[in-house]
Amino acid sequence: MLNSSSCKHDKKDLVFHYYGELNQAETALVDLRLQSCPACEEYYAGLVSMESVFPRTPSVEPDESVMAAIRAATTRRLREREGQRSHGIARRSIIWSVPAWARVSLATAVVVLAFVGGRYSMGDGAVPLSGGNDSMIADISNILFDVETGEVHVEYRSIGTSSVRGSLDDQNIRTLLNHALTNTDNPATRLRAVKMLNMLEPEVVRPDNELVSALGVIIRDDPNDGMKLQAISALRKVYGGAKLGSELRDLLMQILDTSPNSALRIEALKVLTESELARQDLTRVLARASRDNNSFVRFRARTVMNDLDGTIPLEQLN
Amino acid sequence: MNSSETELVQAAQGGDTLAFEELIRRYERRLLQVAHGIMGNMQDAYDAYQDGIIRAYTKLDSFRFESSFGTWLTRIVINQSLNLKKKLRWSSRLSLDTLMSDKMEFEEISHAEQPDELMVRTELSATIQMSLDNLSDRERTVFVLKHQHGYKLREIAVMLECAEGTIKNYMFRATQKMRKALGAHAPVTSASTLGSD
Repeated sequence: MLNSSSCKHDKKDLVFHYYGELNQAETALVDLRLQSCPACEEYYAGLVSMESVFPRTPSVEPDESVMAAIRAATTRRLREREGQRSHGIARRSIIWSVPAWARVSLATAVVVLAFVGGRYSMGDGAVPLSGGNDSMIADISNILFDVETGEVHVEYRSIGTSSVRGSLDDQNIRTLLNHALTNTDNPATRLRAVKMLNMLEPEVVRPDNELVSALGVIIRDDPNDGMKLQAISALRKVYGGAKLGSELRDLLMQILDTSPNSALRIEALKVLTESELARQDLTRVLARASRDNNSFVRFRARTVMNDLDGTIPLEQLN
Repeated sequence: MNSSETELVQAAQGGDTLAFEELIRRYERRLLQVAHGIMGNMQDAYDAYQDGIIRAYTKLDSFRFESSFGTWLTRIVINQSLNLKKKLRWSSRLSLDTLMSDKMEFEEISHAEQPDELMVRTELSATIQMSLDNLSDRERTVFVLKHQHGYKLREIAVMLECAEGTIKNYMFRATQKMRKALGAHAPVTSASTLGSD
């Protein structure tokens, strides 16, 4: 290690040289300094090395399917905005065509109504979603999880922006989550909902057919493997060792059989082996997994076999 | 700004939504990446991006062709990102995104990638994210725009509406911190392999 404290050169020049912010003359001066000052040379080497850890390119490259979904959601919001604007202009035109005395009366009536209505309005701006009906939800803008209380907080837009907070047993919360999971226009919200489910302890989540079905659709249809992986993982929370439906079981077996993505196969195997599978299904799963080209899948299959303590004859696995 | 872009901007200012959408399409990927660099996760980046686009649409009349449309748009998305970040920080609730790693969310996982490779990559991403989290919002924004997107510092000064000297200070401080934080993870580079940018 060089004694950099003896070097009095300005390190800013090195940073701006590295990032191509110096003019030709300044660059030439720094080049000379780099040849003669070991401390500056070491500092510069540190900048160059940083690039190998943190490449000088954007860290995410959304694929075209994600961009298309984002584009569709943005277009929808633009159209809504456009509609509101034209509606606002039309409303203003109507109001200004009314005589002044009538405008004053109208304003007074609005104030009185607002006062009376305000006294009886709901707290927290929540709009109840009657009978699990999600037709009034336009968009879900945020999903938060309170780690202290275990409550879920969902912000959504219907007529205006509202929010609702409650446990996962709350029907409103479940309706909103289901809406977020099935909303193909908004991949970010869908991912947020899946991640939220992933954060919960398994026993917290009461099995819910709609949530499971929504996760199944993501696992089957979503083009993004990252999203699929999160959805399979969320299934483990929703099921918590209970019996899998036949459709879901077949879907996970298909992933184990055919997916070229080892992370997906590993997660599918975890769900399958943790759920209550019929014996012949478990045998089939373990037989497939024990021949997988991924060492972790094979290891996992062997571990489950050991746990079963030889109750499945070896010949059935081959 | 080329003529077709000028025409599109003028059409959009005249109320042509399709022209506006066409303009957005030209910059959407980069805008989303910039928002991601500032926010640190894709969900918040997406929110900031979308809010930025809506804001740009409503403020379209205020664009006076004094900078490029891309610079103007980027400035709006940056401001939305910084505002959202402040809002999230003030929120007493913890965002899911700060609690969970999101490294794989919008990236296709490489089919060839093995779990151990995935783990190394995720760990490295977490280290980068933690290092970026140690920067102030302004330092982080300047660093991301320069390091990952290669904007000139004077362009960044326009986007952030700051003096170029101030941006240089942010950039230097951010680079010092990042160099120190990531130094332990970087391979040793021999002096002979050094090159200028």
